[in-house]
Amino acid sequence: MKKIDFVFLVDDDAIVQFSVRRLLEKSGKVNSVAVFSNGEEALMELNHLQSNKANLPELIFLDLNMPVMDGWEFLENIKSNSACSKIPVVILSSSIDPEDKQKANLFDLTTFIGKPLSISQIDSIVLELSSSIE
Amino acid sequence: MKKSLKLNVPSLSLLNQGESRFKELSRYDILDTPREQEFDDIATLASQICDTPISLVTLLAKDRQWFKANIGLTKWSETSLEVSFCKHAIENPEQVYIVSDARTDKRFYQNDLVTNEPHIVFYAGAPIISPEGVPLGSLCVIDHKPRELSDIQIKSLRLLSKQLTKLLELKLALKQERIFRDWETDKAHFYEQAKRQGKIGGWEIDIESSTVYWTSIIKEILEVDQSFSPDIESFRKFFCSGAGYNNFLKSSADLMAHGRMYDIEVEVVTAKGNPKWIRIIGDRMEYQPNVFKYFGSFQDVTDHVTLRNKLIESERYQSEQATFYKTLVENQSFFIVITDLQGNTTFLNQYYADFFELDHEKEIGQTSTLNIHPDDIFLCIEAGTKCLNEPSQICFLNIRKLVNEIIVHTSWSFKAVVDQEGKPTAVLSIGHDVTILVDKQEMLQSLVDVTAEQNIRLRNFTYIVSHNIRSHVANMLSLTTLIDTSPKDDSNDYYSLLKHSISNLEETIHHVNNILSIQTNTNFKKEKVNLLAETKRVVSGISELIKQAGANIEYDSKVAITIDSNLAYFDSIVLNLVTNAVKYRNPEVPLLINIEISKNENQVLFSVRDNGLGMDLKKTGHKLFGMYKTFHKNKDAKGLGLFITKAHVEALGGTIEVASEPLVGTIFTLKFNEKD
Repeated sequence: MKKIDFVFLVDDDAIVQFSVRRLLEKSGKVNSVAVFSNGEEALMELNHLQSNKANLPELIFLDLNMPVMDGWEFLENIKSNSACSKIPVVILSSSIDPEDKQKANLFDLTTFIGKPLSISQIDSIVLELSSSIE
Repeated sequence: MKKSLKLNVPSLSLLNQGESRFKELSRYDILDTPREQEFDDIATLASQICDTPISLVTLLAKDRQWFKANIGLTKWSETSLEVSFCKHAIENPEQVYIVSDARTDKRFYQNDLVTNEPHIVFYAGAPIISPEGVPLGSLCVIDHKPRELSDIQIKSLRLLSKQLTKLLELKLALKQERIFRDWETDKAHFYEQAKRQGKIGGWEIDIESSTVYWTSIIKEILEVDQSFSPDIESFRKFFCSGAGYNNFLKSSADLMAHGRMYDIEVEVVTAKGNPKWIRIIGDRMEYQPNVFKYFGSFQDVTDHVTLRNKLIESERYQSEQATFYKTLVENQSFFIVITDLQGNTTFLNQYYADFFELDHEKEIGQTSTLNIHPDDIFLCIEAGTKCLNEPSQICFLNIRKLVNEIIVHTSWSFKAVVDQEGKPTAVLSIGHDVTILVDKQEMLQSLVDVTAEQNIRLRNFTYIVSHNIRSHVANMLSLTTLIDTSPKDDSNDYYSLLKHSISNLEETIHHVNNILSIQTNTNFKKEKVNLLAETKRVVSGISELIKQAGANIEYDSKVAITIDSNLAYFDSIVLNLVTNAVKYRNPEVPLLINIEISKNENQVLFSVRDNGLGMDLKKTGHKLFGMYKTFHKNKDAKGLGLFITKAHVEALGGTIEVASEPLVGTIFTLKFNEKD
């Protein structure tokens, strides 16, 4: 089974940052995780990678409620950027507002997953991702 | 005794005789009639038989003797009774009374007729006796010289006087026959006319002979066979009510007793059971003295009476209707206005005039839209036009009217009034005041709006609370998963993170409790709060923060304003708004906070304006007062403050509004109704 080389994790909650990264590493499906506290930080890194022609992440885990730049604003930004728009996004949120799920569906290659993230969910995401790449 | 009695009797018997004589004479009705040959002939015969120059047929009236026939004494037609020879002659009806020489007769020698013209000397008179034996006068012969009469002459004179009686009877019979003939002619004429006029029958009753005659039309009207022969009682069978029959009897009795003609209407039921109205006219005819025939008409007036009853009924109905409509029009809850095809008022009821303070007279002829709210005039004209185009339709509309610039909400139904051909001639409008209803509806609508908004907020609140609690729980689950799957050495790290998560959860639940307590505690204590003084007190509590931010605070309050409020809530509001202004200040511009407290007609306004970062309300306005929503890049933003501020303001019965522009500033305005 193919491994994913590089993912972004964008969440302002330190416990989430810690626990999700640890889970991803434990799953053995992800080589490295870059962590950001809000949309703006992640976007800046993407721009940086792009301008250095470095590899972009293969997957982004994204929280919705964050200060400075929330998940929606970040999504709008990357989806309007041709280089980044192909990166699949998994929204990780505790929201039960149906509007949020509907809104998530409006973006390409975007999945909504309720917190907490489980190892089996990581497995299926990676499986789906690698099959689509192949 | 007998003699003296006999002496006294003549005058009495004369008197009685006189009475019956006058009665008999009046029956013959002969006094003062013209000369007639038959009477003259008998007189001539008498004078010839007795060989006298004069012969008379005298009749004794009350105060005179009158000559029906007169031979040789034509100068006189009558004389007084005083000088009458005849009055003596009739004293003995069976005998011829003879005076041979009046000049030597003690009864007559002083008689004017003897001493003067015509100088009567000889007189012989045979009484004329009616068949009932009443002497009426005499046939007499007179001469200017003394005479005697032979037995034959006397007998002849008596026979001739008897002939006179027969002649009188004959004349009377002829006369009666003529009257009867005339009556028959008249009757025929009457029936002919009646026939021409339609169903008028005639009837005739002769009480004396008990004969009753009905014309065929009466039989037709009463639906009896033509062979039916009526009797005096026949009418009664057909009268259907006692009153009708009694009326007929009373009228008949009146006619019989006083000759008063009658004209009555009675209800009958025909032989075939059909009810009819009959007009009966009754009269009488005296065909012999004191002998009457009763006759009259009998007319079917059923149609006429029915029509008349209908007319009466319809008049009564109309009058009832008029009263009914008058009551309707004079009601005290509906407006009634009628307008012509041009929209000018032709009628308005008093209630409408009174309600809208209109001069009843002046309104007539005016356009009916004068007191309508300008925005509704077109609606009204449109409805009126629609009614005229579709006369069968009723148009309903609500329009606002103005009374002394105060708006009155009215609800109307418009309907075209059409003529007999169905063409509209006017518009009838009936309306009533629905101001209270509209006010209530508006109140209800605002309640519904508030409730709907609260529902949305409650739903959002639920989502947010759920989100925040789930976030912590999700973290805890993640951490326990990691603990389960990791070597024991790592547990300490996870344990401290788990503790942190639990305390975060506890904090979230605390916030939720806070919010719920604001929203559920409606019985909090209220007291007089001087807005300016209290604001200054709260601001002085955070003077260090303001100083560090380099902010300047201005107060704009012309009069001291006090409201009934809850001190803790008001303090929290002020604190939140001022610290927000400090938090979201524009680092490029020195912060200026302006706090204005003012009052208009019935509201107290409290506003906090800053020149800070501002927000794009188009983007975030709908979530501004939501919970845990933050719109600034400021890291201190927790997104709870405005939610709680709004909850506090609303708990105090006020409203909060915001206006903002990025990099220009933000103004929050609170409004409190002074009543509250």
